[in-house]
Amino acid sequence: MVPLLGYLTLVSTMIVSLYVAIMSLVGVRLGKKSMIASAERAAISIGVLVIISYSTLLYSFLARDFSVKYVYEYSNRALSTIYTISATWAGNNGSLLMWATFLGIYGAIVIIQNQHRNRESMPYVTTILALIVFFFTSLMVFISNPFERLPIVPADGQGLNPMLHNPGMYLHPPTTYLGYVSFAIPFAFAMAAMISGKLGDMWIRTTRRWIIWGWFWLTVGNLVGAWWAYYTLGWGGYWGWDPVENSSFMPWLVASAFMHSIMIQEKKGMLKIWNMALVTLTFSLTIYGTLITRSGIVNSVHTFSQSGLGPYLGVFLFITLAFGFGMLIYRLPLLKSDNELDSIISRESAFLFNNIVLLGMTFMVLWGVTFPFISEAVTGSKITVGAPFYNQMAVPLGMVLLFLMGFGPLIAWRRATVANLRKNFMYPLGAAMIAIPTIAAIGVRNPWVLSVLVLCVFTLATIIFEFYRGTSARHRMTGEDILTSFTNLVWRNKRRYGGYIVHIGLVMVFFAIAGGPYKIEKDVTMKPGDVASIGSYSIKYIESKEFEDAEKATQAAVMTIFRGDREIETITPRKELYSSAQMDQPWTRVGVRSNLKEDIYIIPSGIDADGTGGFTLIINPLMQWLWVSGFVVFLGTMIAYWPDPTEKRRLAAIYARQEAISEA
Amino acid sequence: MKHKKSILIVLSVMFILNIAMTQVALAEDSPELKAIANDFICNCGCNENLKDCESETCSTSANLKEIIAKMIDDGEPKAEIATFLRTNYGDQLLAAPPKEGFNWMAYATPFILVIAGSIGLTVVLLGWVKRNKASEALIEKDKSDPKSADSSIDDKYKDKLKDDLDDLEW
Repeated sequence: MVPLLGYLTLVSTMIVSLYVAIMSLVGVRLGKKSMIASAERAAISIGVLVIISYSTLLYSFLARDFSVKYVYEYSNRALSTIYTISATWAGNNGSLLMWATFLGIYGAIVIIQNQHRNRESMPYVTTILALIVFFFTSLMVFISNPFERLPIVPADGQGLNPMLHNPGMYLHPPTTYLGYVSFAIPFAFAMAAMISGKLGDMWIRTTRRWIIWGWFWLTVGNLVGAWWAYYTLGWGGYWGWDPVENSSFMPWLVASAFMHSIMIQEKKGMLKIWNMALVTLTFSLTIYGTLITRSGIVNSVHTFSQSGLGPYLGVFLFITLAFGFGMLIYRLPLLKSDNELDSIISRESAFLFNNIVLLGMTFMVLWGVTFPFISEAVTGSKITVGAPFYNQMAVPLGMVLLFLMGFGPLIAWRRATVANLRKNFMYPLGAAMIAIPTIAAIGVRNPWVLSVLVLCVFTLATIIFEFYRGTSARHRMTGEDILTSFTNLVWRNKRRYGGYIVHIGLVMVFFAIAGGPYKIEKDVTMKPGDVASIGSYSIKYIESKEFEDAEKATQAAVMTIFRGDREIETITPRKELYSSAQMDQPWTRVGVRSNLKEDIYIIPSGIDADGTGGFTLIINPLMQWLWVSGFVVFLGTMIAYWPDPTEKRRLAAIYARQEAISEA
Repeated sequence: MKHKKSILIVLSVMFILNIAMTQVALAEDSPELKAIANDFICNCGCNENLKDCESETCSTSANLKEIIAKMIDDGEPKAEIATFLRTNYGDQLLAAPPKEGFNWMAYATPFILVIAGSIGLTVVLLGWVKRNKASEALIEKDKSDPKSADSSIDDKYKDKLKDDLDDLEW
């Protein structure tokens, strides 16, 4: 009964979304406000329908209704509640439903937010969002039905892939999808602007917070994905430039470029064409990411299912690109803005060069994915483009990006004078100069690592300098104490200083990456009582333990880490063998001891019956900074995202003017 | 319950046997082997780096590592081992395209594009600066015209207004 309800709401969503798309479009073409209003009410109901549909799927999982094929395939009775909930998005069908659910909810919010504003473009926005919902619900209704029933109800399900038994499972897919789906909103507004011919910057101002929201969740999705890979895949790394990882990294890169270039359009009315292209590219890349992850067309450690969705998602991707760029060409004459620049040495230029580097990195990733096919076509020989290629390419490009991240805030908008440059660059450059011998003195000799660390110091110094300058100016002007000046500075310029805090988080990412070349790795065979040493640590293998629960049999190695004579921590790297039918291989659970300096990471390769085991001992320097960066990015994004009364008033005035013009 | 327990016992035995069979090979992964394996991928279709592909779940990577280990034991230098693997399994086994012939395209193209993009952007930006100067000159000319209504506006205040607008938080 419940799965049937879920399926019926899914079919209803599909029908209603088609109704919304048609009514909204016909309504705006015929000038019938009642039709538009009906479409918008129906669009809000889509939000409710998708929530019901997802809830029924969740209920089927929690009720262990194995008559539903999807529930049978991805869960079993032994699965804990939290993983049962996360199993709803473990396969393609549930992931598609999650896509549609987020989009349905986002769409309803957008319509409620814009009931009295953007009235000329809203019917088109509604149409575009409804068509996307229609596409995804059609996929589920006709090809990938999450509520499909089995003819005979099995006693138990197949269970969840052990790789998905990790907190990353309940964080990574939803956060990535929250990001992916968010970019449907700016895309819809951009397309609506082009269809309606209202090509000013209102679509940017209206969707600015959606862009930040989407970018933030993409960042979290990528970071949590890396964290998951680090703790679950058990190879001692966190980013392997796998096709699935690449597919979620590319929209992040383009979205980052887009976030910077829209500021220039807002301030100067420039780059209209560029921003339209970037929003189309960002949204298309989110579809590409879904295609790569969900179609199973590439082999990846992150692809947990095969499906026939590839061609449909491929066609949808093509339509998105063709429509976006087709509209762009059609509106080219109107989009041409009077681009004027006071000086090439200005923040506008820095933002544009940052765009070039970010797009260059996107191209590099895409090129790496595509090159094997090109090579085979040209030379006839097959080649592989794997992690060593991407690492070689990404390091120099990343360093340029890091430099621009520090350079950008130091130069003024419009025109930087020599005096301005000297004043702003003196301290950060000084800090970088001091950093060179200091970092070298602590033993860093690798030129790439040294350069990255110096650039980290330079960029961090520019940000600190910006905070210092703003706070002291405010302190002088208002007489407020330093702390109040600082708080008010940030709070009254949320977007700017929130952005700087996000940059601090990104500096931390570079800092963590810089530790990579100093990784130490050692393979040992140990039996209980043995001691192995790595770096400044010694690791004592205390005992081997076997235990089992309803889900799995586990063999763990209890190991104590010492530094000198001081006991630091006891960890238990282990092997697990799950009892469900689809998992007949033992799974590795690494043991990790972390601090901000380094991680001690132990991979058990095998533990014999008498406790003798093979272990890979690794010291990963600076790893924790990568995870800490996520919290800093979160803080910065929240500040930048927080509603600003001044901005609200300014937008309200613009909307009022807009309303008056359209009524006239 | 009894049934479940017996399944778990069978699985535990399988588990231990499986581990015991693979453990020896894994424990023998020397730093030299890892250094060589790092340059290759596993050709079972998983796309993982050969060094990182778990031999206990992948017989292909176990076989490849065994070949490398044997050649190391025989005293073959790294270059010889790499050539042997390339000759027998093709360039596809290499984790990154070898830097030769057409493959240079893989390495050069992104940088060429970034450099070309930067040069192109510089040219465009210089054009915008030029256009801005031209319009400023036009305004200047306009101001010098006594009939111009704007001539009374003080430049200082105009510049101040422009700066303030630029500093607005948007």
